Amino acid sequence: MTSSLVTVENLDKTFRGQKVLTRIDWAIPEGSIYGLIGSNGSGKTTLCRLILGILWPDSGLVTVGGVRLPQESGRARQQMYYVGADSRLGRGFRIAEWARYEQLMYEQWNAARFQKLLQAFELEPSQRIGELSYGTKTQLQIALALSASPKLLILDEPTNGLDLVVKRQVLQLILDVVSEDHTTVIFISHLIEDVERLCDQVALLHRGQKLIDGPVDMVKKTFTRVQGFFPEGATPRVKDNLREVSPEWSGRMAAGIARGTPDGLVEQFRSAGALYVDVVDMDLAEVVRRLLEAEGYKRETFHAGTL
Amino acid sequence: MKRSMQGRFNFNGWILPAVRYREWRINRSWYILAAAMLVAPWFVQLYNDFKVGPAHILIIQLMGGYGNTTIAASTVIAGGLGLVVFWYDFSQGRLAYVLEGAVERRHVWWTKAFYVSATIIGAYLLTGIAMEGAWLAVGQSGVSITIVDAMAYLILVHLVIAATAMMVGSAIGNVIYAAIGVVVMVAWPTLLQSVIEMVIGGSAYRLEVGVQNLMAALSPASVISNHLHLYVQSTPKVVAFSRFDQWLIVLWFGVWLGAMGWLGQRLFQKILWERFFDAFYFPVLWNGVYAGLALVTAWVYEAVNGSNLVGVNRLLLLLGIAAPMFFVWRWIVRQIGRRALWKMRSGVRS
Repeated sequence: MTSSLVTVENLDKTFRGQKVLTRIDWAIPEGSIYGLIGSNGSGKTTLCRLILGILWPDSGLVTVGGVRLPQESGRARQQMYYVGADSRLGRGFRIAEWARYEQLMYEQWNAARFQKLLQAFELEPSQRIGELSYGTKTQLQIALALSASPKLLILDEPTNGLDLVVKRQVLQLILDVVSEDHTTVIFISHLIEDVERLCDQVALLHRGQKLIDGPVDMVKKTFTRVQGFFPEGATPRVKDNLREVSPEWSGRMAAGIARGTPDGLVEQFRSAGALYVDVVDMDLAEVVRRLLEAEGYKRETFHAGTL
Repeated sequence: MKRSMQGRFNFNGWILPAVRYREWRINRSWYILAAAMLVAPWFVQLYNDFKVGPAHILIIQLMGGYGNTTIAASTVIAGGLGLVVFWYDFSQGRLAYVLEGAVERRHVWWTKAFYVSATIIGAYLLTGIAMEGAWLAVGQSGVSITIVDAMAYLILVHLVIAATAMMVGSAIGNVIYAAIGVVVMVAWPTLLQSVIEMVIGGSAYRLEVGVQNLMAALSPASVISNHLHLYVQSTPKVVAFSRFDQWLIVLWFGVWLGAMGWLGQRLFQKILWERFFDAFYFPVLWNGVYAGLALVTAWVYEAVNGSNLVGVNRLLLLLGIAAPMFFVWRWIVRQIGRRALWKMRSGVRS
């Protein structure tokens, strides 16, 4: 049984009278890579800033390493590093100067690793941070974060602005370093395929509430696709037998989604006359979409010419 | 080696090397500029005095008069420095996001206080050394106490103003509101004195004088403008004052400095992070804006209508107009805010 590095209990947070997070309970096992996904404005960044101790909860408890965080603790934050979309990098600094600042700040700073990462990202220490592109700043932030050797690394949309080649390199470097250091990672991303590739656990937030969390494989089993081949096609009799399922038809193939175990749906397909029935795992993106839709989170799509 | 590492990460200390390094790198232009602006007029004046006549007399005159003539400008510089070190750091240094790192707000506050103090002390120390050097160069023997006194007083005055500005800068994010806040803070007893005088309206002379003296003693602005000559012994007025008065002022300024330092740090630690993007870090301070607007409205209304009332009646009339106007202005400003026309900075991501 792995112990939890971060524990969040009954956490509430309000911004200007508007509830941003409601009764969040969350435990992050030590050494895990935890994906945090959710709709826009669901409270992902807020939750991470609460864990860092930057934001203060209205009620509830955050413990890191079993110790309740005081309102502000530089020593506790030595063990955590946050890479956010709103970069803290000083615009007027050169890369080497900002690295000097971080080196003075983080006790476990790994200078040799930083040099290697700079080379890997093709960054020059003399470059001015203000002149770097968004993607290059992101790479610099990741190099700094990995060199600070934190116990908890919070990556908030770390692949935004990166091209495909660099993104692949960055994700691989993150994997290499965190497995070497046994770092616990919270990985926030809208790119669910990245989360599926990188993370062993995942949590889904929506409108300030946690809808689901757990190992990625378990979350993916929340829904299962059941496909059946009906030789007679979508006849009124078959449709009538499957009216509770409302499957999607593609020729003589019908597909339905089961929440939880698919056994009941498989049985329904069979009794409706399916020649064969297949149970197919869904990818994480589709599971997340269905979970959000189940919460009423839908947007109309428009076809060309309707706008 | 171990000891130096412990020093670097001693979170119980007041200043962390990392924070100090960053502060100097972000705000060094302001510190150097402020020091140069404080020092330069003295050096120019000293140079001119040396050109025209008996230098030792001119140095005495310089010490006697120059502090008085430049203090208005130099206190503005000190106050501006106290504000700009926060404002520039939030706008250009991304201070709100820097707080996501392994730093604590009190380290940030005291590091700024350290550099602001060093700038002021350094500037007047340099000026004092130059003056003493000139004093000795023109044949005077020994150290001039006049110069030491004047420089010590100027250091104290500028520290008081800068600390007040830093305290206000710890609570207000908009630099214009903050500048108004500093003026109110250093002059509030004087403002209160005006109100009391208006109420008394010449009816009680002794009370009026008593109020004047008390408020003048409490207000740093009054003390600065009225008592600079206490420290400049060459002026005839010094005869009227004793060393005891000087020490009282030193004591009062010391208390003020301590209060501003404590309050500034406490306020800075109490701000909700999400409020760092607002004009006022504490929303309750908006009431000051509504009150100010209401008082101005009441004053304009009264002036336009040519009221003949005096004393308490005049005050009651002003308050009677200002009270409803407070809520009117509150409603107007909030409506503007709701329409997002009043956004000072960007919002917070969730």
